[in-house]
Amino acid sequence: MKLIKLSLQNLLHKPLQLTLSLILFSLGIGLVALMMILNKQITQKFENNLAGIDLIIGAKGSPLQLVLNGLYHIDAPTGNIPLKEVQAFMNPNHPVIKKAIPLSLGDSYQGFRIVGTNMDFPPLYKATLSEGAWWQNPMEVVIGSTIASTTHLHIGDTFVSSHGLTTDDINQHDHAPYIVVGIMKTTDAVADQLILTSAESIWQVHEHPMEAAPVAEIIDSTAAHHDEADEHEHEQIIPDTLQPEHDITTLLIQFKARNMQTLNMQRNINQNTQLQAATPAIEINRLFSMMGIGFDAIQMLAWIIAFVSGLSIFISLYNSLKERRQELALMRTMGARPATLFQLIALEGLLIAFLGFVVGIITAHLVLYFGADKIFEMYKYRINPFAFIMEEFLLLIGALMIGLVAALIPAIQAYRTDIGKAIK
Amino acid sequence: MLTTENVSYKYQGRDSIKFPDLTLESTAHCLILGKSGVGKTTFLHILAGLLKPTQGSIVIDQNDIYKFTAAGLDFYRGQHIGLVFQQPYFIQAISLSENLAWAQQFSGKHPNHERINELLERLQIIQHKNRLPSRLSIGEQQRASIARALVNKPSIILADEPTSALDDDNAAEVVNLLREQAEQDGASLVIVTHDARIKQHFHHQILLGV
Repeated sequence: MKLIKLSLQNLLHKPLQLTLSLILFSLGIGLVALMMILNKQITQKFENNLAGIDLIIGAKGSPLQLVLNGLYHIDAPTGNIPLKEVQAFMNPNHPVIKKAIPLSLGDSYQGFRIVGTNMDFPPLYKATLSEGAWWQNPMEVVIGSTIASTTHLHIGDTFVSSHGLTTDDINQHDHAPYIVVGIMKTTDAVADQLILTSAESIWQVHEHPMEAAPVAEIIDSTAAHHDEADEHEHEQIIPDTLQPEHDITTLLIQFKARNMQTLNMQRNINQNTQLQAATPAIEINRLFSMMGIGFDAIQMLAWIIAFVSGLSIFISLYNSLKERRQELALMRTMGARPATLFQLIALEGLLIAFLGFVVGIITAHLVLYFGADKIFEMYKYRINPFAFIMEEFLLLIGALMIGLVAALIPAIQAYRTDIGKAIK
Repeated sequence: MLTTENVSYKYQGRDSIKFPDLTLESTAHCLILGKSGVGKTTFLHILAGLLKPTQGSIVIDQNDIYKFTAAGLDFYRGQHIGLVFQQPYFIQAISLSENLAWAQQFSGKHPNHERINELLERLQIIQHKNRLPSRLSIGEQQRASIARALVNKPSIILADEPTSALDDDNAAEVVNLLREQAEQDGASLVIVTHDARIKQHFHHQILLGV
């Protein structure tokens, strides 16, 4: 027979005391776990979505807003910028820029953002198709896996977009329906929540509000325009369908390499142009450090709750020890050594801590499970409630340490049990 | 065999209590009598190794028990001394048979369920083996205490006022059980009591406080 079994039986013998200790301890542990998991998952999501972008260019405003909107699609755009002002960055022969990907934003469907871009965008998130094909023509869209599962759109389905992120009928672009031509595989990045189309689609929706041209006409007009554009200087710099008079929202930039030129580029843009340039990594680190204060504060509070609930283990064991003084003395008369009694009580503390940890972790994951939909509804970010992180194992060690420390004084008292005084 | 020599004990602020020398052969029975406060329980605790005497020696089967370390004495007691207390103490969270099994385990033996069942049957409480001690009557609890004292086949059984809480019938039954079981297991038996009802059962009697 194992001593741990006797410890467990002792705990189960006082179910009310055990339940109270477990509720308190699991509450603390659950809160710590919740903070750890949320922090980890949000950090991972943000890092995944950096997508190797070195610089982001958009309208003047908050650099953090520019990054959040341009890369993470979770804030309003800072405004639009004329394409002609950034066309120099889109030169394929640019000495330091490897890729410049334009994004036209502002419309949505059922809260999911529509991104007008080019075919350089999907590889940023290693996006591949699960069915259908990539868009070829204006008004054709490829949807992310989350959108497919949430909206139940299929290949060949059509829909109309809303202006902004609203879903009301008044702001709908009824004149210009989109057609779904492809569905992406899950990327575990923001691409899962995006509707991708060509930039022309966005312009078409906004420039011809009353009469949208059929897809065939758009292709013809694009071809005609191509002929006229031959004389213009920009023809080799930007694709022929992107016209300088058009606006875009942001330009995502990947550098060929990092050097002094690339380091100065951001400052030059910010000081000498009407544009704004921001480094995503810096802005996100800034955001994390700001968020981190909140996270740290809540996590600290959760640890304090865990320690205070550790006190409940101590009180529970200490009280039970007073009641069991004679029982412990009896064990000594039965041959149990002082060290055995120490182990018995220490195991009781560890068991409460372990059970509290298990209940706390389950509670934290259940809270995430039930809160995931709300988070998704608000931010279109899917939290995985059943993803376990390494920190949870570290939390187990922390919980056991609290249990052991809480049991230490009662265990020492058990060790020092005076049989002669306890048994009359 | 139990031998005591020049044993005395001094409580703080009180006069020293001197106990008579005692020699008890294996399988012998002895009743230690005395009024309340003369030190009967103190003497029994000294014999059991629960209370170190101020002076003197206790030798059980050629072992001076107070020469053991604290842990060594606990272990020796678990193996060789069976104790029955005035109040029946148990580990309350576990069943009667588990209490007996732990008595074996704490003394370094593997739980022997055959032995446990045999004892519980002899003491006629086998039907309660899976019950918690608190669910038994006082008489049943006292029988269970005797079973626990015997489970490791001790060489000496020490009983402290085992009948004080019992009515006449139960008192006689408990004393007979203790004598029978000690005889069956070849153990010496020492009972300390102020209960005059059990005098008649013992030839060898020592009166304390005279």
